[in-house]
Amino acid sequence: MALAALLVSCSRHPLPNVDGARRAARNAIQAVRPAAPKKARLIEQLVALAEVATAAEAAAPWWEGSVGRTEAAWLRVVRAAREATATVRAAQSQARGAYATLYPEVRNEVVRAQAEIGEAGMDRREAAAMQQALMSLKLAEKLAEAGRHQQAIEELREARDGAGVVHRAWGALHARLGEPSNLRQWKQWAEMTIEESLRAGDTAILVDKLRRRVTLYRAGRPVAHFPAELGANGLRRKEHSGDRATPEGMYRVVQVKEPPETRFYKALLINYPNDEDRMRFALGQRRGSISARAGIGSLIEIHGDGGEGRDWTDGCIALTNEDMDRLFAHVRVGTPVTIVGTYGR
Amino acid sequence: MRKSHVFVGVLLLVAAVLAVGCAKPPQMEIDAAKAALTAAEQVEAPKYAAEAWDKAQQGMNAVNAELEAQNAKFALFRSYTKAKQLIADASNAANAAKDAGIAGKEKAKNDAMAAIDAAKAALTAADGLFAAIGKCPRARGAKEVKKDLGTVKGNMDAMKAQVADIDAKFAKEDFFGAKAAADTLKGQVDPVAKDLEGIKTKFKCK
Repeated sequence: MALAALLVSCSRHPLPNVDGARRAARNAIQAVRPAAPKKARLIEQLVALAEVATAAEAAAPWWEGSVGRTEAAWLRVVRAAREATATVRAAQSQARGAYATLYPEVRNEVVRAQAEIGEAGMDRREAAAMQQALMSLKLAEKLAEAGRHQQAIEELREARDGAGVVHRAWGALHARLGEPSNLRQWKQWAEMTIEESLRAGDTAILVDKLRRRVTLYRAGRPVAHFPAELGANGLRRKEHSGDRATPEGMYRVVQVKEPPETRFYKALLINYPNDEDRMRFALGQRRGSISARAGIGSLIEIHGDGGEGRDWTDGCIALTNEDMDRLFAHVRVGTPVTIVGTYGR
Repeated sequence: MRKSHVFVGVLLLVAAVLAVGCAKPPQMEIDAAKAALTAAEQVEAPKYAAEAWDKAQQGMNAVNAELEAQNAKFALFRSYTKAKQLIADASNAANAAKDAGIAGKEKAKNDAMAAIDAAKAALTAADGLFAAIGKCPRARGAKEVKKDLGTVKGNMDAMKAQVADIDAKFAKEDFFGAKAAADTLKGQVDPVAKDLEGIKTKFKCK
């Protein structure tokens, strides 16, 4: 009887094959863990419970066993694994897609911002923003290569913000150059200068900053155009010493320089600051927009050693040495030099 | 009759002794193994030593399965010899996972720190070159240098500002992000430093 009892107790239900579920769980944990560690941990815990259920089932005598418990436990594992994998893959696919859409847009913004800074010059704020944009773009590329698309998207947004700072500054600068009141003022100065040249039958110089152009007038008629390079912040209006902006106003040549009087091949010194410049500077300091410690600046010239293809001076207007030679032949102390943002002709 | 009573009594006594003295689950060792696994999880072994963690997890599962299998048996037939071996293996695996997790995190941290230090050193060196050129009348006065120094200064100020961002990533233990950002920063600083070095050499600045 004892032997019969022993034989009976040794019989077990056949267990379902759970190797597939184990594999599915392992794969899901590996796939899910980097992006969703908590989901991976949940799957691990469900696997632990399922293994215990399987072992209990394997050891239970036939009258106690219930294979359904084992199957149910592993079914929970497989469901959790599938859901977690699907969720993570969907998120990754979405992030990849969003990155692929955003990247070319942001790259174009950054390239545009680089061109704008090159064209318009920059102060420290725009320089910092441009540097941030470049670094964030490169970092986004690195993160995307490593499969971290969500972080890459955040970096792309930072890059776009940096480029946006530059765009806004450039827009404000160009808005100034299109403002009707400014255009009217510049047109008036240009016409007065040309009129003077006509009346005197003499030469005059007109500088169009937006067009980067120096025009030589003789007896009221333009006789030569020269491409010019401005201050590094040349399109801005000069406010104080060191701002690297090119001034706007009606000036005259006060000194004609040749080597060794100048390091820049040849130079025409103009009488910046004039009375209007001094008035604006004083007003700026009273209002606090110009530091009390700042100087108004001086030594603005039209000089040689240009031809860099970019704005680089401290506020002066640079021509190539060849063009300086041509200009030099026609100017003297007293020649009017009028610098405007832009004008019609 | 009396003799048979005594015999049955002795048999029952032996059976009782056997039942009481039968194998019990090694609870202390089981608790120690669980504690070792928890310790491994706390040092972020799943993140920094995934393979070792998986092995430890599987080891613990085998322990639990074996214990369950033994508990399902009649007390007299239970044996925890295999379970003890499995527990020892699971403990070793958990300790190995903990050590690997600590080492993995330390490596990630050190790699990030090395990248940050390299970026900071590159910035400091570039700063030094810039200062040297600033004190060098020959270089300062040269027109091609004068043109660019203002731009370089602006760019360097911006690059220095990014160090705070990188340090913040490191403090949050985003070691991968910190390393990537530091490498990118160094990649931007190096060409600037190279240009400055060229200027310094060309004009024989001190």
